[in-house]
Amino acid sequence: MKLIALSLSLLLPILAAASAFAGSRRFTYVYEVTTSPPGDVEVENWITWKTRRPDDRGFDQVEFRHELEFGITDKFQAAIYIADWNYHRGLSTGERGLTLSGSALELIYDLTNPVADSVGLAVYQEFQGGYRRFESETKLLAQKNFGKFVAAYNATLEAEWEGEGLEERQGEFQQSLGLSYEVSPRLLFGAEFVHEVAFPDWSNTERGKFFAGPNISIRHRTNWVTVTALAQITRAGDEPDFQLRTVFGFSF
Amino acid sequence: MKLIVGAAALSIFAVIITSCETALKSAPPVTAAFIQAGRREKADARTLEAGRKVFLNRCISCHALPEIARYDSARIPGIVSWMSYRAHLTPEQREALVKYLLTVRANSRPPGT
Repeated sequence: MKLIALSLSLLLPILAAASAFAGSRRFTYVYEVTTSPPGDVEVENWITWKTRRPDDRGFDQVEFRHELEFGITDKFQAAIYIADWNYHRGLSTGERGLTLSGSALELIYDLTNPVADSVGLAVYQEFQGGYRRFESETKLLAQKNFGKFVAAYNATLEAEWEGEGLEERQGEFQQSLGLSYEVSPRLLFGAEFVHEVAFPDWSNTERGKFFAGPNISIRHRTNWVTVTALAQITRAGDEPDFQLRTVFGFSF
Repeated sequence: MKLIVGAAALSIFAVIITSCETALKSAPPVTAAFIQAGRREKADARTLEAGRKVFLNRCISCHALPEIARYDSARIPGIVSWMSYRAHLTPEQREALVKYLLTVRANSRPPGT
C-alpha cells in the first residue's frame, strides 16, 4: 500500500502531459496571491498520502482532488473541484475502501500585488458539497516577493456541517506559511508550515497541531509539479505523522 | 520579550523597505524622465504604464522579475514573444511590455559598471 501510494504521488505527475507555467504553484498547502491570467484554463491534480497516526499505526489514506481552474480577469480566478475522493485503510477509518467526499467551487480575488505593494493580498472562498455534508472555507492570502525569494501566508477559517440534517457542525482555524527560493525558473526549493486548531461543535477548542516540511517545484516547458513532505511536529493522535502532497498541472 | 518583538518588527520593516527597492529596480515606475526615455521606443506614458502593469502582474506568475540590464536589447522582443503565449498576452499587451522593457534597458547601466 505504502509503495503504491508513494508511486502514485511521485510518478503520475511525471507522466502527465504537456502544459504551461501559468498558474504553476510554488507550494501545495499554501495558496499564493497571484491568479491565473484571463483566458487561462488549467487542470490541476492533487494527490495527498497520509500515513501512521499516533492512535492508529496501520493508518493509510490517499486523497485525490481534480481541479479545473479558470482565469477570469487580471485579478479574479475561479476553479471547480470536480471530485474529491480517497482510499483509506486502518482501524480508525473502519473498513478499507473508497470514499467520495464531494465537489467544490473556489473563488480567488487579488487585492494587491506582491511585488509592487508592501504586501500582496487576496481573498479566497471555497464552498464544498457532498453527501450530507457542506463546507465553507474562507482564507486571507498574503504574499511578498523578495526577488527570487517568496514568502506566503494563509489564514483560513473552515466551517463544516455534516449529518442527515447537517446538524453536526465544527470549525477549524488554520495558518500556513510557505517560503520558496527560485534556483531557476524551472527549479524552486522551499518549506511549508501548517498550524491547525479545531473547534468541535464550535464550543470546544482542541490542542493545536503543527506540521512542517520541505518542498520542491519543478517546471519543464508546459508542465509543472510541486511536492511537499510534511511531518507532524505535535503528537495529535488523530493526525498523520507524515503526509506527502503532490500537485501537478497543465493548462490549455 | 519587548526586545525580541522590537527586533522582529525592525527586521520585517527592513525587509519590506529592501523589497520595495528591489521591486523599483526591476520594474521602475513610469516617471516624467522615464516617459522622456520611452520616446526612443515610440512609447507614450499610457503604453509604458500598460507594459509595467503586465510585467508586474503576469510575469511573476511564473518567475522572479529579471534584472533587465543583464539582457541584450535585441533579445528582449524575442524573449517576450516566446513567453507571451504562456502568459496569455494580447498583441497590445505584448507590444506594451516590449516597449516598457526596452525603456528600462535603455535607462539602466549594465551590471558591474
